[in-house]
Amino acid sequence: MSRSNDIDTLLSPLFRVLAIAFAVTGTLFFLFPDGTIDTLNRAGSWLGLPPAPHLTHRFWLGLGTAYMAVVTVLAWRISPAPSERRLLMEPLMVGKATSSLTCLLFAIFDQPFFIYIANFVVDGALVGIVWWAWRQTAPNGGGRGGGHLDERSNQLLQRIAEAFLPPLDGRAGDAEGIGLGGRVAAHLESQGAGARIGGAVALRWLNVAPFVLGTPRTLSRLPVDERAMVLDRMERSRWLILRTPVVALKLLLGLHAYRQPDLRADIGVDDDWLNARLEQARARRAAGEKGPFPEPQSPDGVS
Amino acid sequence: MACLDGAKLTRNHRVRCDVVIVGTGAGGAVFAAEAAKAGLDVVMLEEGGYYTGKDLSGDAKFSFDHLYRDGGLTATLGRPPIPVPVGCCVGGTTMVNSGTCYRTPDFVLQRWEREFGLEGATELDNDYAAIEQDLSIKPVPDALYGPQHQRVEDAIKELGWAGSRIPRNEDGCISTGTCAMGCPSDGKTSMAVSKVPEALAAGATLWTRAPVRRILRHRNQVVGVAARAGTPEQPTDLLVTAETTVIACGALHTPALLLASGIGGPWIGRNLHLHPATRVVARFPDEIRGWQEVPQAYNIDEFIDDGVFIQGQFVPPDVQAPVIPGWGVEHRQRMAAFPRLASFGALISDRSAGRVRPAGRSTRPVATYRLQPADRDRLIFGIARTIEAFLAAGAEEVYSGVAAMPVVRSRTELARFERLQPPATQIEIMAFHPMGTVRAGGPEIAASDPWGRLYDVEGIVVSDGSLLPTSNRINPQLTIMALARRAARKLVAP
Repeated sequence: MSRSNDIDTLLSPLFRVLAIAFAVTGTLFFLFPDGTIDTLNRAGSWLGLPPAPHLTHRFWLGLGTAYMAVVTVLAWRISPAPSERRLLMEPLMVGKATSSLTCLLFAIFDQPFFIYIANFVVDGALVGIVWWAWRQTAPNGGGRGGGHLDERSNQLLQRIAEAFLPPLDGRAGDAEGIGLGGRVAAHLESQGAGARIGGAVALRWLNVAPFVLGTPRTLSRLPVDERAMVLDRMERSRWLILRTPVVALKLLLGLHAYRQPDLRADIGVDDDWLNARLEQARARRAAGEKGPFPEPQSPDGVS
Repeated sequence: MACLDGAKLTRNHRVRCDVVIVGTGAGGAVFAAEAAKAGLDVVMLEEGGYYTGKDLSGDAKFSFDHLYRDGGLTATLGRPPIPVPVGCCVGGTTMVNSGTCYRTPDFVLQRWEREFGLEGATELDNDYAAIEQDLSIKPVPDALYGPQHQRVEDAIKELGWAGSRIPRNEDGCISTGTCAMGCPSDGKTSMAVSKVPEALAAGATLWTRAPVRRILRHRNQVVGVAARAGTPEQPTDLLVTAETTVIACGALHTPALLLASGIGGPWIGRNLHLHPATRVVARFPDEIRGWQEVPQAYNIDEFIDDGVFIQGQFVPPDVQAPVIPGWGVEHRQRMAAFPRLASFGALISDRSAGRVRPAGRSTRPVATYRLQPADRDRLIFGIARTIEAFLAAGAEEVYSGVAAMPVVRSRTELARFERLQPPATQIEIMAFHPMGTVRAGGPEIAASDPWGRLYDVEGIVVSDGSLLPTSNRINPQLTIMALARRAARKLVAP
């Protein structure tokens, strides 16, 4: 699977969701302009912000609806092949950035209506998301391999690895000694942008998830034994959002921990058995009992 | 004969042949061997690399990186998401399975014929027999049979349940215990060391590392495929035109490739069936050393009519570790008893059905699948019966794989376990054997005719697990091979 295919798998549904969200929002604005303003005014009133007035005529609504139609079509046209169509992300970003910044200016120099502030925040966030997607789909961007987990993710991974494989008296190896966190990070990085980004998101979620279980500290700030207990509780949870990332991480931690010869020997797995059979297999091959099997050759020169 | 590495193709290349086959797993390789032996000019295309025993050492990480698709992390989306590990190399999933080969039960074949119009499903005996002979399929012999399976077999007899030794495709197995990581001794007669070399010896050409991006079509006729070769930095196009195009990428990727190529019909991608499975691990008071025997050697078929099939399933510690309950010190202490652990799994015939679609314009499949409550109940039933067998065999502690009650130590606790109604999200589930997404049968309810020829377009045949109309209740590779053999023979001599 190529890297562009990999990042497109992640971005295609994202742009499809954006297109649907733009279409729904634009339709609501068009059909219920005053109702939309009233709803946002109510939210603003909780923050003590003044209510924005209703529209007095429909000219700007026409232009606003046209803008929503354009961004909907852009997101929809990008969604089937984001890497190929990344240039369409640029007008989308320009539109959303203009919408966001003009609302910021209005909030500062006109009135601090909540509707301005909300639009500044939401469209600003959308600029960030599309900009990230635009970078990921660049010909040599992070989405095409070579990307690394960020430092914070690496730290969190190390913390979780320590909880999985803590030092134990009389036992060989622990997470720090075998660099378990780094091994799992390298694994995620090798699986492309989807795994790397998904991993980073999952690690941040796991870090704050103890609050859901009533533990008033982030996972990384808990002592190692409490960290293990919290992860165990999450693994037993009936909620997928808690259980799935823990199970997935445990799978990778187990894979990388127990392939280490020291740890295998420590739990009584003698690789001598396997090594003797590998030697037997080599001898059979040398004697021509098995194989040789075809070897792929360079196709240069094929007609 | 030519065996070529697509990643080393430095300029665009065009090939013309009689039959192009996409995928070299159970369906593709058997089809290729039959067609090549009949004198047709055959080209096989494989996305993955070509690995045989000399490249393998039982290392799980290497296998996940090189033999499995998505590093072994292929999964369906749904509640819960379910991992479905599949192979991506010459030989496909036959490289990474346990070599278990059963004929599909007659009552299933009769149903396929009667309800789905899969003509000739009950007349596969000759095809089965030919494959069994070619791949040296036979029940696990005494020399390869170990204490993990022997204990369960003895317990089953005491319980009065039916069970039997598993027939496997092996010729000279030396019990490395690493079937799922690729056989380092070439004892398992996977497609990579049996039917693919047979096809090559009969004059076929194989391109490895050449993933197919599109099926080429002229009006209502499929005329070949376009593959991407070369390297990511210097990609090249490999175009193969053929009289007949055979798609054999498995039930997840075949429908995605068809749909991404604009080839469809109402049934393509629908009707995804899986064999959701669990793994139950037991700790015995004394050593078993399960890695020193064939990992899958005995099955309990007492409950097959209920859609529950229980099989031995030992895996190395790096793969077993995630199933062992607990974190930290507790987990380490349990892992320290590894030589005393045994492992069996229950797979169920699902009533749930999912769907496969391509992601955007790519050929990457997105599979959605929601486990129905009836299937969850059968999983719990299968886990309970496996625990019962282990307790009868003398296990002192059993790890259920169910988060609501991960450890069971006695029959009393087992009774309590059976009263649990845990949601599917709390069960450790993995699924195998994707099937049904290009269902074969009559034109009203199927995408292809009984020989895998699509109804909607000419010149294309599907030859993999996609064709099976429903779950076949057991490991399907032998049935996929038998259907491929008869489809190839139909092509050669219509």
